[in-house]
Amino acid sequence: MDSAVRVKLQDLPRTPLAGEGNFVWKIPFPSGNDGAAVLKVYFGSRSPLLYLKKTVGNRLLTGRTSHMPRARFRTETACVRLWESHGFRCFGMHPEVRVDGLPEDGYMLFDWTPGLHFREYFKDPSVPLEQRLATWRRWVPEWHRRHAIAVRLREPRLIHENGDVKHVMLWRDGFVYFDFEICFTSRDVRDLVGREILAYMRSVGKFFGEALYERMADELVAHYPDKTLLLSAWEHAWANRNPIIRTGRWLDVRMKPRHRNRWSKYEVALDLRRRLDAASLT
Amino acid sequence: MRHAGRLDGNRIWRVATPDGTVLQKLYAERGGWLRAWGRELTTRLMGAKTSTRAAGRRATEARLLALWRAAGLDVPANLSDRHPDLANERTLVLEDVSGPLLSQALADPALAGPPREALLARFAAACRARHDQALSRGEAGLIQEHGSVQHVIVSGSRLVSFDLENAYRPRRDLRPLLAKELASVLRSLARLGDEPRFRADLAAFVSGYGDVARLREAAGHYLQPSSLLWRLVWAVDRRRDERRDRAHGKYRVLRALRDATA
Repeated sequence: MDSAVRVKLQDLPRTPLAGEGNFVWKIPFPSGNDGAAVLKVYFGSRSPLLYLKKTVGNRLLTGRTSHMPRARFRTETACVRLWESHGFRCFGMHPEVRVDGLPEDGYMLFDWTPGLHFREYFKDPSVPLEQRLATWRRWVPEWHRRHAIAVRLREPRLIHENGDVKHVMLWRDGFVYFDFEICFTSRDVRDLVGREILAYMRSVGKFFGEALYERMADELVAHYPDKTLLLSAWEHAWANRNPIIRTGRWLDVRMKPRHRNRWSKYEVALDLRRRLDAASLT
Repeated sequence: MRHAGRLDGNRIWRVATPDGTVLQKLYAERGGWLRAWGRELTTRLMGAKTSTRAAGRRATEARLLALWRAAGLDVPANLSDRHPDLANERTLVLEDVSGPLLSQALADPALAGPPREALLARFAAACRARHDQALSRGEAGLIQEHGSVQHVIVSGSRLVSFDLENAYRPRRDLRPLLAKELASVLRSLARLGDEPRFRADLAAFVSGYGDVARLREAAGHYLQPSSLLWRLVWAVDRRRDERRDRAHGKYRVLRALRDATA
């Protein structure tokens, strides 16, 4: 029995939500939050040639999944299911909704989730600083739990490839994650954890500034349980086990001036290392 | 960015868990790869001690913690099995034993007279019990390679030994190892204060240890070495002590031990 709900694209009143790339629209959805849902179409505004170019780069150079529209659809839906199976909230999916006028396996209807992005919440001066830091302290163990599961299962899909404070929301007293179109393919998950930690903390520095970064980094070191996983952020940037990558990074940090920027991965990695050293009893 | 690319030594972090606070100990190489390998090569050639590499030290500590606990000796519990999220191939999860180090307790000027003597006697008795087991079982792992009052925690009635990542390899005659451990412990005791106080502490230690003959023999092993190699080692040690005028030199503390057990 086909339980699909069919709607026609041309009949849908659409409010665009994204600037470029995918088409992402807010559409009416009677059973959704606030009577709305989000229709994400993976066949976006970019040219097929660009998709192909990015796919070649991803697959051959950077160890990521394909950038082709259907591949991103498959990756995202698989990641959402995987993350939810381990208790991490993501945007709810509605695969039963079929949209006439869009290519099969090229779109997905997600729950409209009117939460607060970390990016907005943590720099909101109307929220007392202590309350914001308490939220961060509550989130850090959940962050670690995901990392620990990823390392234990050697599951790169549990690493947030586009992870930063733009892609986590506070909603209904919990945390919601989104944007999983691309993920890593390497089985060196510990290194990927380090990369993700750096990406998040760099975005903390860039969006919230030095003063709040200092407090949040202190809380991170104090409350992230497995300090060796936290240290993997420094290892990712400075002490990669692969000598070729290590040499590449050594050259990278010396040849590119932008890597001496306060929020470069190398600087943030060193900063985390210093904090971990200070927290050590030895 | 000096040394940005290496850790250079272990790290120990206190971690809060739902079951209470534990220690996460990360074993890392000491110095650069050349120094680490050089040290390891020397250790292997000498054949007297366990591996100095990070993985080797982790394995040794896990083995010795189990060995010491099975022998009824007080060491931090290895909680790695209970905390799989914190334990991995580079770390151990250990009991967080509260309390000051024995060296800190003894450095406290308020600890004097009978309470000080009682604490030292308790420590000496624990050493004696362990040495008894080591000698009777021929188990080199029960001799502390890095014995020191800095490696004992005074936790109420417990005296908890830690830092077991290096150990002696099995050998037939354990008495030279025992002498080394005693020399190391007494040197750490001598560092805490002046000569009169060391003499008083030593008397309390000897009294608490009980087996005066064994202590005398240990001192004699160093002061009157039987082999040519040991004579040479000893001559170098003595000259160095005299040149630097070190109150806590090996030669001086063992001469004090010999005097105290005469």
